[in-house]
Amino acid sequence: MEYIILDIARMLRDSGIRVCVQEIKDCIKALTLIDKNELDKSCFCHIVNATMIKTEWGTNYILWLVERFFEPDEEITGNRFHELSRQVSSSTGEGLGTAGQGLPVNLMIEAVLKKDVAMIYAIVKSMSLNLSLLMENREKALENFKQRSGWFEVTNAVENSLREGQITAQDYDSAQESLNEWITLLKEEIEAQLVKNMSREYLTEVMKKNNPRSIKFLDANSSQIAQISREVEKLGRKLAIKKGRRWKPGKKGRINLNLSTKKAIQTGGILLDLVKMQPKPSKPDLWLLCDISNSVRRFSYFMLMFIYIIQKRFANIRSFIFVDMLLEVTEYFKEQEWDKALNCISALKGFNLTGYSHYGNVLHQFDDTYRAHLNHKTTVLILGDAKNNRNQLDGTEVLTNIKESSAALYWLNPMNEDLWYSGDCVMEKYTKECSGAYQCSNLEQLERFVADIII
Amino acid sequence: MKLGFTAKGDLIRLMKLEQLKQGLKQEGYIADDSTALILQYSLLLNKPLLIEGPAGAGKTELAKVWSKYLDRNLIRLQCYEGIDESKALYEWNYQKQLLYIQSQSSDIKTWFNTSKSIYSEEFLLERPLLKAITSKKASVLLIDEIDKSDEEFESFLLEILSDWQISIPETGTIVAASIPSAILTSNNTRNLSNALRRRCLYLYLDYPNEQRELDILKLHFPTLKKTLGQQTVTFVRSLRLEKLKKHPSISEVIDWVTILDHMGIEELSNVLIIDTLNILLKFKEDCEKIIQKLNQKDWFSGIYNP
Repeated sequence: MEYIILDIARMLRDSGIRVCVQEIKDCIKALTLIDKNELDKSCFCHIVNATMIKTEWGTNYILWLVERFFEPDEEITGNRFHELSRQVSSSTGEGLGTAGQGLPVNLMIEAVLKKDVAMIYAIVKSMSLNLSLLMENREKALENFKQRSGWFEVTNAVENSLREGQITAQDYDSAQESLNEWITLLKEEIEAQLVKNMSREYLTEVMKKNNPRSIKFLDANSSQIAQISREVEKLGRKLAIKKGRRWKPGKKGRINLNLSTKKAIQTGGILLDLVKMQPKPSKPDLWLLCDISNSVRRFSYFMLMFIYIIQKRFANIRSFIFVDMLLEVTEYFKEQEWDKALNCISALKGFNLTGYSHYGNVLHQFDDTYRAHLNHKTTVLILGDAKNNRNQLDGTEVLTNIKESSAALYWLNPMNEDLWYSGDCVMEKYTKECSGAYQCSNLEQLERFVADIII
Repeated sequence: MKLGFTAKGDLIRLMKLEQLKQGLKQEGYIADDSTALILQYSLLLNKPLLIEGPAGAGKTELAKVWSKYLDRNLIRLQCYEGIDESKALYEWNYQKQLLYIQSQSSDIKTWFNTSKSIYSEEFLLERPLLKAITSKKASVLLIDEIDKSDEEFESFLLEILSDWQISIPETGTIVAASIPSAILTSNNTRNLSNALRRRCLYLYLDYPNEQRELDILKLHFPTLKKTLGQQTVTFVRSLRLEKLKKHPSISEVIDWVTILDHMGIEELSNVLIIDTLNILLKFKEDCEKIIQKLNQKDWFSGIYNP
């Protein structure tokens, strides 16, 4: 057991989750307290999450790992498989075949129409679909599995039934959902087999992708977006409650001897009350310029959300969006809830004339209209991939002015640093004119930036 | 690689867990397997337990019930923005010290004795944390809504949570007379530091599923009508799936059912929900949003005839 826990801890660390020695010790200790006969999968996953991962999504995350790497789940398929085998044997006189031979098509059509996902799962599992060891392309593998599992045959049969009026439109929609579920099952099967074929390196890579902290903003799916949103919200709150370095008299905190002595004079030299000093919350002064062209839209979404949360608390936060024109959205955000505001942002007018980013135009517009309002406390953040679409005017000349008029000018780019100097990306020029340029493609990098630079 | 899970062992574990769950149920709390399991291990490992989850999911209640189940005193520290050691750990009774000094002779020779005695137990105001570790009988220490406190306060808790001791500069280190079962709750509004997480076991406590919520209602209202109970949990579940400023907590649902019970209601209706909605929802915008939804015929019937 110790070996397995150490192995899991190493994999968790590789996937970006911090696990310390004490936590591994706790996990092993907790597991040794359980009688071996008492240990089941759910109990194991709860203990690993409670002692090592410690997140809302940790139990499912470790369950995923256990099922893929340690013990593929046979609980769900077990009984259904025998039931299925019986049904198939009685209808065809044969067992379940592989590679498209002896496919129980009628049974599959029935399962799809009834939306019996468990049955579809059992069918897929029982087909023993094997991925070629050399197969790395997921799309190709999926087509191959769809072919071999009879997905196309069932889809055609469902289409024909609709055309011939044997099923209603409602049944058809329900069947489509089942077919999508089928694809998901095949994808999971491919993933599990890739893990088996390519072992640990691949698993670590997949684990990284499933870790909300290290997944790229641009690659996240809808459920991961929801998780990242919650984390970004927390990050915004963290910044909003961060205490500054200035102190003010308060009810608690450090004793200020000077002020206490002065106050004691009022009571004939007796120190009746002590004057205490407490840290004053800092007021971040941030201006955010967000590129919301298609290539970086999702990344900007998170940053605007982050800014929105701190904007609710501080007056000195201003936000702008742009594609080829600059538009201030500070007031727009103040008027409504963030999710509504972000979802309706594309309905705003005045920031997108051509649909192509034009950093030159935007930076000049900012310099002309807003630079006079900057002061030595203001931090300006520009978010974008710096792809200027080969426009001659790139705004480098005004970036220096903006930097000099503010406390600092930072550029956050969601693209990998290797790509900053290729194609129509002019990041190389901008980097020289900024106080700092950082890659910020996932939550971990955003957290690090906020902790190191803004706070 | 096999982990060696067995289905046979599951039953034995369930029996033990069942005992704990039953004990908690007798105290008025219906816990699921993971909650009971992790509570059990926090006690066995002498580790604080960090419980995260949405507001109103029953985190504080769990700590209260846990203390009753263990027959221990509950010592509660409610965190808020700006809480510091003087409110959490100890404070010197400054005014009393001042009076004591003034009552003593101003002779310099007595200064040594005076300075020693003003830092004695007599002048120490005990706060919850100190109370919890100096208590001879082990207690349950509830540090509630830790996410509302500042990061500095979190760091301050590290010593007590890992070594069960407190260092007071004037008197030295106080080692715990008994180790309390510590429960920290957080509404997950901000990330707690890794250092604090490292020292705790972790449990995420979400709103209960429909079956568990129904069990909770049955526990509080043994004569609850089946239809009303089912409708209530289904309706509340659908409210929690909506994007609202504040979702109804379990205690608010209990309040709502108390009112419905008092009114002798046997089945929910559109009008009844609208009339009593402000027991569940506490923001005008949320009420308006749900009333608007309730007025859409399909939404209402969809809940009861899914």
